Amino acid sequence: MSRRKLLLACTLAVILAIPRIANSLTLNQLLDMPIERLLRLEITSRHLSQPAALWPPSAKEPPAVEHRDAP
Amino acid sequence: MPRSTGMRAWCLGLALIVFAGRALSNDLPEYRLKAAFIYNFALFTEWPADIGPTLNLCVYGRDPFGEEINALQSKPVGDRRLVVRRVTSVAELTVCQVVFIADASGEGISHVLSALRGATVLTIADSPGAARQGVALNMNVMNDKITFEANLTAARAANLKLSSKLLSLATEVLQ
Repeated sequence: MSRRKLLLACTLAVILAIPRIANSLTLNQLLDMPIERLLRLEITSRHLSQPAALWPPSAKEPPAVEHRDAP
Repeated sequence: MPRSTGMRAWCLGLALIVFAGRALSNDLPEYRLKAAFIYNFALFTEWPADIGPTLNLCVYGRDPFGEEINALQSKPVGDRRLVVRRVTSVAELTVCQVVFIADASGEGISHVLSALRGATVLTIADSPGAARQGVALNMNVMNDKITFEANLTAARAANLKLSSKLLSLATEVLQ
């Protein structure tokens, strides 16, 4: 492959990467979006983020059900 | 190292960085997005004037948000501020204005709803069929996107008015 083609391929890779980098969203960024836009966003992970150990079910409470995992 | 080999190595390295960056940056966990929806639900609800200067957002049950939802702490909802609380018993729900019912199984929902009967509380869940059981707003995941359904009767019974804009975006509005 010629040097020119390699440079072109690398430049293209960088250009393609830019929109994806902009796609990284924090909760604070999500809060600034209109709800119509939130409805269009696709989730990438259906795992629990960091479950807090705050659910010691007592005898009176219903049993905790494991949350669904990614398909 | 020959010049072309060095160039190839450089390109390969760059490509690896680019694709690793893609994998890391394109991250939107389910419960981060659901936390944003909960905030919007609070925004699009008309709250009675007599509920005080704060809105207590309570996560009831096994918390699926982790640290994520802490970003909602002190966020403004009209003239009020959100306070995030984790609640493990129905007795603690008396201080809440917004309740997210986590891990809502059939019995769990009715248990919570009967404890909240007559209270000015916006109930939210993410369990199939929860709106039909009496939860005011219920989130679902369809094609990796969040949708929600609304139960107007439940909202009215809680002395809350959901905005027409919110209702227009719901997949189903139960009257």
